[in-house]
Amino acid sequence: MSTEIIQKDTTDKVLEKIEKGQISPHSKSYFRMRVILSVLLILAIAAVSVVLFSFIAFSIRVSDQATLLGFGLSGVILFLMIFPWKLLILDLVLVALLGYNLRAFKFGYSHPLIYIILILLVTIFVCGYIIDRETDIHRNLLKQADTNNLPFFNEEYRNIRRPPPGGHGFFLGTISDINDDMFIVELDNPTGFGTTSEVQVYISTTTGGVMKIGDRIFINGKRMGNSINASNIKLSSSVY
Amino acid sequence: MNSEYTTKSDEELARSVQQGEKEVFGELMRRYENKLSRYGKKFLSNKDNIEDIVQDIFIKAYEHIQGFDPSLTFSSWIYRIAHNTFVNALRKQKITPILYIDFDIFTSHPIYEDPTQKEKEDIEIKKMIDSGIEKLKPKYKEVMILHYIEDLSYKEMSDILQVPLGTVGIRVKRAKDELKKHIKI
Repeated sequence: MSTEIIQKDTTDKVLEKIEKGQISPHSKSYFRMRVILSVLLILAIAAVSVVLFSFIAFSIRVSDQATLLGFGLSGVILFLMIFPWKLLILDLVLVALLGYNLRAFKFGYSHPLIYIILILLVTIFVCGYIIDRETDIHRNLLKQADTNNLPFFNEEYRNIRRPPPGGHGFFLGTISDINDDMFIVELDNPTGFGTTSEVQVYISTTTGGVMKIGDRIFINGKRMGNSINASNIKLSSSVY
Repeated sequence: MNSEYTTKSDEELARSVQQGEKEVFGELMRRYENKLSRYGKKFLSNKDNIEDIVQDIFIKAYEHIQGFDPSLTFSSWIYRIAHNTFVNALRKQKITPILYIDFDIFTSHPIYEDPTQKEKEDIEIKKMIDSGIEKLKPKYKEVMILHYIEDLSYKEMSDILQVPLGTVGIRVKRAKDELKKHIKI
C-alpha cells in the first residue's frame, strides 16, 4: 500500500508540474536543429581531417622526404625525425573525435568502434590523397605562402621546401656540372629558397642511375669544407 | 486511470503525448515507474533518493518526448534516459569510476548461445542475482539487471547502452562469470 502511495506521489508530482507549465516538451525544431548541428560538426571535423591529411601527403610528396628511406637506417631515422608527427597525431585525434560523435547515431554505436575508426581512416586517407593528387589546392596555397600572402600556415607551407636539417649527413641540391668522378652541386638554402653554396661531391659508390645536369639529388655523405664525400646519391623528385 | 489507455501500446501513447495529450503521459509513467525504480535500486549504491531520480527521468522524458521516434520502441528510449540519469548519479556518488568510453566497445565479440543450456543457466543465474549483484562492477551489474530482472533482449540493451550487440553479449558473459565466482567464495 505504501509503495502505491509513493508511486502516486511521483506520478502526481510530475503531472502537477506539467499542468502548471513548470515543465514542457522541447519543440520538434529543437531536435531537428540538434541533428543538423551534429551533422555539421561531424562534417566540419571530417573536412579538417581530410585537408590536414592531404597537406601531410602534399608535403611529403613535394619535399620528396620518402627518398630518404632508400638510404638505409640513417635515412629512415632522419625521415622519422622530420616527418610531421604533430599534424598526423592531430589528424588521428580528429578521427577519434569523429568516431565519438558518430556514436550519437545508431550506425555509429551498433558496430565496434575499431571498425568505425578504420573506415573513417581509409575514407579520410583516400579523400586526402585525391585532394593532393587531383587538385591544385595545396600547390596554389604554397605559391601564396612563398609571397607571405597566406593569412595563416605560411610557415608550415614554406617549411616544405626546406632541405634536410644539417648535422645528419644528408644534403639536397641541384647538379650544375658533371666531371669524371664528381658532381658540382648547388646545395639548397636551409630557408627553402634559392641555393646556398656550390660543393664538389665525390662519389665512392655507383649511384644506380643516370644523372644529368639539372637533376635534383639527395646526397648522403660527410661534408668537409666545399666538398662532400658521398656514400650514396639518389635522384629527388622535389621540383617546386 | 483512464481505461482506454491501458489497451494502447507505449508507442501509441507516446505519439498521443507528442500531439499534445499531456494526461496520457501519466499512463506511461504508471507503466514504467516500478520498472525504473527497481532498476535504480539494484544499480545504485545509495538508494535514498531513488524517487527523486525516477522523477528526474520522467521529467527528462517529457521534455524530450518530441525527440522520440515512434517507429522505435518506447521502452528502449526511456531506459536509455534512465541509464544516463543513473550513471550520472553514480558519478556523483563517486563509488566506482564509470568510463565515458569503455574498451569493450572497440572490438567485435561473437555472440553464441546454446538455447537449452541458456534456459537452464538463466534459472540458476536469477537465483544468484539477489545475493551477488552488489559485488559486481557497475557495467556488469547493469547488464544483469536489464537482462535478468527487466527481461530486456540483447538488441534492446544495445540501443539503451549504445554499444554493439557483441559488447552486450560479452558483458553479460563476464557478469555471469563474476557472479558465479562471488557466489562460490
